[in-house]
Amino acid sequence: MIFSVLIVNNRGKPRLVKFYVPIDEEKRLPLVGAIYDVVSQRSDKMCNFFDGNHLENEELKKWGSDIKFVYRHFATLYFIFVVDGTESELGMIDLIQIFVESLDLHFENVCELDLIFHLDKVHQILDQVISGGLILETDPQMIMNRIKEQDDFSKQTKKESKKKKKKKGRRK
Amino acid sequence: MNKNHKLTTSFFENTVYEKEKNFTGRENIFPFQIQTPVVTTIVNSIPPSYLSKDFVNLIKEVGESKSKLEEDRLIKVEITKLKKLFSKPKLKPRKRCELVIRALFCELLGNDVEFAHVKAVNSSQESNLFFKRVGYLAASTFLHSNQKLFLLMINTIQKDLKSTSPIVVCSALITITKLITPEFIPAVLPKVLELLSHEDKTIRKKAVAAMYTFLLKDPKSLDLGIDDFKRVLCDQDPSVMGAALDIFLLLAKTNPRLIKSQIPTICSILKQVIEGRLNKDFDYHQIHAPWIQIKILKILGYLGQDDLKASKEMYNIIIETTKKAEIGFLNGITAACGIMYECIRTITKIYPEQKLLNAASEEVGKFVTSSSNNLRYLGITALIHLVKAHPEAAVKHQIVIVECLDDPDETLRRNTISLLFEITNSTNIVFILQKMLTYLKTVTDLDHKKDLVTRMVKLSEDYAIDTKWFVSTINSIMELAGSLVPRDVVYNVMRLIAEGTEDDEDEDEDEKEEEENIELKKFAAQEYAEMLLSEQILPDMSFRLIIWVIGEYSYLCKDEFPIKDLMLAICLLVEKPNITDQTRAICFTALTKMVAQSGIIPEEVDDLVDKYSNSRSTDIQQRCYELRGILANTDIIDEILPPDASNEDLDFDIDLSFLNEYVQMALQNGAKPYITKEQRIQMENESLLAGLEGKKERGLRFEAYQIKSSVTTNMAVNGPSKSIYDVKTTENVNNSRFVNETQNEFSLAPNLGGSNLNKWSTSGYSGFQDENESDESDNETTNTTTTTTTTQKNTSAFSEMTGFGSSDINSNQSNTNTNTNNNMNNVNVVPNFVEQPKQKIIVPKKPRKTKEEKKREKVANLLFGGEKVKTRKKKPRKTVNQTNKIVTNSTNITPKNTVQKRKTFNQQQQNIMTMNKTNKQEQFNNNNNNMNNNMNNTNNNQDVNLINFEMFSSNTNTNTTTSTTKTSTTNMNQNNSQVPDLMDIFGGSGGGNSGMMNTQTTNILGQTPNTTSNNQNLGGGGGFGSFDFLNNQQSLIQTHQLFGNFNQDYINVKSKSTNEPAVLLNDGTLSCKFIKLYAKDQLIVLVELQNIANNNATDIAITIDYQNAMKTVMTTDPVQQVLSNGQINVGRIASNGKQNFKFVMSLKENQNTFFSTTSINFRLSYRDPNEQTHFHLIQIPINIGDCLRPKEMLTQQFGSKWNQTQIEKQFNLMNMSNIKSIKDFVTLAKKILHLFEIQIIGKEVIMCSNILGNENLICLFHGMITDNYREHPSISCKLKTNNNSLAECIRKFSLKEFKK
Repeated sequence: MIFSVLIVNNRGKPRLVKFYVPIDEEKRLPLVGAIYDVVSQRSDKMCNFFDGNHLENEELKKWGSDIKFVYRHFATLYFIFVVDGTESELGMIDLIQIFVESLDLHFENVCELDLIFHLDKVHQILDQVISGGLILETDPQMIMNRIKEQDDFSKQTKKESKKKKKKKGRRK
Repeated sequence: MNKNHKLTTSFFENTVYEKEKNFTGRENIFPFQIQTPVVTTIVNSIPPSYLSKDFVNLIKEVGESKSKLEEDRLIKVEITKLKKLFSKPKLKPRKRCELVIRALFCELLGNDVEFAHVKAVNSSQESNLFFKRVGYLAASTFLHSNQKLFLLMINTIQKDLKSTSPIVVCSALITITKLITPEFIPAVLPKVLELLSHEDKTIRKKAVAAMYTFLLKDPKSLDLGIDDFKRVLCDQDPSVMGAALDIFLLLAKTNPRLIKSQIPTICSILKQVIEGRLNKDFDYHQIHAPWIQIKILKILGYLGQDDLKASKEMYNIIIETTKKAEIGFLNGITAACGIMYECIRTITKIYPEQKLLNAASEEVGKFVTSSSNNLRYLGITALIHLVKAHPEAAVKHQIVIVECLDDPDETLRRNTISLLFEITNSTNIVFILQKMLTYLKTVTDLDHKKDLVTRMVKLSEDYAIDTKWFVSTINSIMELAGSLVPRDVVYNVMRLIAEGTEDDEDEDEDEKEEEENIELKKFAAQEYAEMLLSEQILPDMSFRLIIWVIGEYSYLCKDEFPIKDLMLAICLLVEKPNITDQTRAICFTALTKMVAQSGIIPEEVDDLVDKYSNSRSTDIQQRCYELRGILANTDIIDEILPPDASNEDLDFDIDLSFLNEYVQMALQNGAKPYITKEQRIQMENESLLAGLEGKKERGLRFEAYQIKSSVTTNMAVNGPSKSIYDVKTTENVNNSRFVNETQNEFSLAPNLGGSNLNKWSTSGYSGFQDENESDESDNETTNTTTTTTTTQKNTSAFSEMTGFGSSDINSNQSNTNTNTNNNMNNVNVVPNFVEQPKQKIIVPKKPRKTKEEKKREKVANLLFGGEKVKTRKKKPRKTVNQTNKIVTNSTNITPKNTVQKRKTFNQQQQNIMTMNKTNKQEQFNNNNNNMNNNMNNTNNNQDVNLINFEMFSSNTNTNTTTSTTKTSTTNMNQNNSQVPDLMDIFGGSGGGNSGMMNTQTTNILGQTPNTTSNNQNLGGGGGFGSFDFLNNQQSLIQTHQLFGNFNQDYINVKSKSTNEPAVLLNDGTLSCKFIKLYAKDQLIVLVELQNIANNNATDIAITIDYQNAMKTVMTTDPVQQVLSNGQINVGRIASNGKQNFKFVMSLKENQNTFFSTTSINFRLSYRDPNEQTHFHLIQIPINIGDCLRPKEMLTQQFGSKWNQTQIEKQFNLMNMSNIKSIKDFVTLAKKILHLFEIQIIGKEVIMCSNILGNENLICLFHGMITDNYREHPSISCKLKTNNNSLAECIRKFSLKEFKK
């Protein structure tokens, strides 16, 4: 399963931190930092995965012995997936691709600032791809359709509530 | 729009602006990537409309901030702002939603936004989906640890699950996967199960994900059969099926049997997938549903593991899948590579099948020869697994593997090294280890290095081609990473060198072997000599090995390396600052051996030995003296240090038969025979049994500590003493606390000192039996005589009981081998400096030897130089050397196989040490007694004259007693199950002490509490086991004078097991004892001083270090003036113990400083008849237990206090096997921590105490014995106090004390 999805920029600032297993608040950032330290020191020519034994972290040990990190570096951002032995490394590389493609579809030439401004949207998209540590959707177009559905529905409920208010106002 | 654009540009200038480095630059790493780059640095991001300008500005500022500090400041400001905004009344949902997002941002940067948690939950309760979604999102991010708030959400979630809108249901399901905890699963489970068959596939999918979460968090929560899972698996929508496969994967991993029957179903799904019968939507880069394929292959891998039948079912489909994937693989599609890799992994995992293995081996080749590091990495990983079943696979790819070893990618290298470990065999070991050594040089990561070293050592042990190679390989590893080589290995090397190859079966080759072994030793000695002379800096452990080998075998290579040179090199090494004392000690032993072997002693060595004879390490000192000693007796060198004898067996005289003569002599002189441990235990059991029958009797003996009468300690009756006092003094106040070693260092010194020892020791023996008798009769008198001043109702009952008690004691005593002069032996005080004339020192030349060292030397003399006994049967050599090692420490470098023997020897050594033969008779006696003492009372030097008191439970009775000086009474419990004990704190029961405070009268009350006008106990010890220690009128008056407003409470001795007067000092002239009395709001320390020598000591003076907590210092008997600087000029005290000088120090609570006080110190000086001045520094330890007093409380009060009190400490007392029940524990806790027992509830107990004099500083204690107490006797304790340091103090103290 997937334990965590992280987006960190080149300077180590977290842009998205998502854990699918319980982890104490104060332990999140140190872990992210530790992972970033390893990732940032790897040259682009190195392979895109490494074992959990590359970094010492007590939280990681709790998750199991076969923890792997699969990451990709896009422009200013590292996309890092923390997974265990039941996931395929290459599959995860593709999944990162799918996630980024979905972001790109939504934001049109997605950049780091999009992720900051639209933090909730990024989470929303990620929730479509991965839920509870499982891969649920692997087609970017499908993901976009879902998001659109949800947004439309939001607007609809918004209008409805406005109408209700108006009605209430009229009654008054 | 423009403005936004500007903003974002500046933002990126300061954060990450790497336009040129976009995805195209990385394309070569993903050769199979078809997609174009996605993430760009083109800046056109527009903040969403719902974010306020405030926040946009913040983002901008944070982006521009130049340091982490500045950023933190900005965020801090933002958080304050948010807090303020959140607290506004009538916050609009929209605004709140924005604020929650802002809080989310702060949280992302690692700040605590607890204040926003509730708002997030509120937001999730909105009906507007956007607000709800943000609320859910924020809640699931925030609430991982805060389950209280989840309670608020569960209702919303339940409601949303029932919503008609699929989107709302989905949000709820997503939140469940993130936040659900086992206890809430039942609340949502029925609805989720229902949703599994919802018409919307998205909902079904999310419901499956929720199920997966349930299964992960609490497998027992789902009461579902395989059919339920199968139903989900066979969902018409492939994406739902894909999610269901995850559940199957989890089951395959945790419970493969459950789903083994489903292999055909799973295989048929895979078949459908690879044939492309799924919806085209699931194709990814022309590969049919790669994730589903990968999942299924993983499942098959788990199911086919070690199961031929199951594996057979899947062979075909795996081959098919591999073939299909190969097409994609050749086209360079990542997904196809992933599937291919999974196929290989599955093949290696399931029951091996040659055809599949061959195919896999072929495919692996494609991976390892790929230009992509990703694929090479996976290829190597696959090989690691493949070679286990198919060793030939690696051979094909040797070249590639070697290439990978030199790859700049560390991950790849590491993986390749792991592969090398797998493929190592005896033919390639030399090459592989060579490679690894090269690699080892490049490794910087410590953990990895450690792992590597361990594995390399293991390989070289497993596949070593010969011993020589092994030794040199280990040497190379040690040179590179010596500190990481496990100690075992070093010992192993030593053993190998010492023993050589062992082939006992083939006797013909013995000679040849012998030659080989000598060759090996020579080789090792040469290697190490070279290493030593090269003066490189090596880890400690390596030096030890080197030095040991050189010490043993340097003579073998003396042609190449003159011994003198090596000795000088060792001398240089000793002086180096970065080696440990242990290694230094080994150096000296090596030097000793080399001196013995070569017969030369260079000047440098001589100087060094001189220098280190005064080393702070006793071990080094010892070895230095040994070297000296051996030099002084050159004729025995060959015998004690023969060359090459490290693996000779040593025989030890376990019975210490050489001492029989002395024992006999001692017995003839009246000493009591030794009681074995078994006998003692039996006796203890018997007395315990007696106690269970309601007649538990413990004899209290109050023997004086005078020489002549010191017979009657009843150690055997009471078992090993448990003094909590570490009473001792040392040269220096600063380093004197509780260090037993330092004690040992000096403790013999007083014994050496006085010629006056002669007398008491001999007379002690001669008068032994008589004293016993007189003691008994004395007891008898004490017990039966009733006095005039007390009312006494149950005298007869009491007499009966005491009668029983004393006879019990006496019978035990007759079996007990107690010391006549144990108070002399158990000297705990170190003379600060003793101006002793030289002739008094027994061993000249070695003035500052420690006790232990001297003993060791004596042992050595006894064993080897001595005329009496030989302890070894075989080859009488080497033993001194061995002895040294043993005595010094456990980390000696010794060949492994002798360690066991040495351990046994070590134990004996301790005994031997205590009974060294000395030239002077009295010293022997001393030591002999010491030995007895050690046997009776292991490792406890301090407790002499111990009197263990039984603790009574919760009754406070009124007791009155009188005596001329001091007596004590004991409290009796109403149910008569208690022991009436007689306690005399300072009084002597010894018959021969005319001047002592003889106990005249004692009254002990029986069942009915009695009161007298004067002496009424004010119930200070309610519920707390206590002794009531009362003085007679006279002493009461005295004490009144002492303490001013002294009242009866003060003399309520809250007794612990420590109510025996503990000996502080006994140097043959002065004896000093103390006892602590636990008054309600004070701690009183009574100290008594006696002159036990027959000569008068003069100019006795005491100087007390005043401390904050100290309230009063008074002298009692005779009353002396205490000067303002704490000095008391005592002058003379009558000799032969005829007079006691007593003084009292009282401490009370003083602004919480009390429990930081650790000891009361005073100095004692006097002049002996020879006009020598002696100084002693005496410390009376104070612990937290002394400062606690029982606090009465009701259970309800306790409950409310418990909630109010903030600071909580938890600890477990492990292995409390001596505690049989919770009651035992309570008794012990009362003794140690002076707790008031509030209530015992089943296995739990609550107790309470407070710091003396401060009712507010309380300690609430909750103890519970574990469920399976019999197997794992441990007690989990919780304590709550309102002071953190107090809590910590108590915790540490408890952990220490309960262990005893």
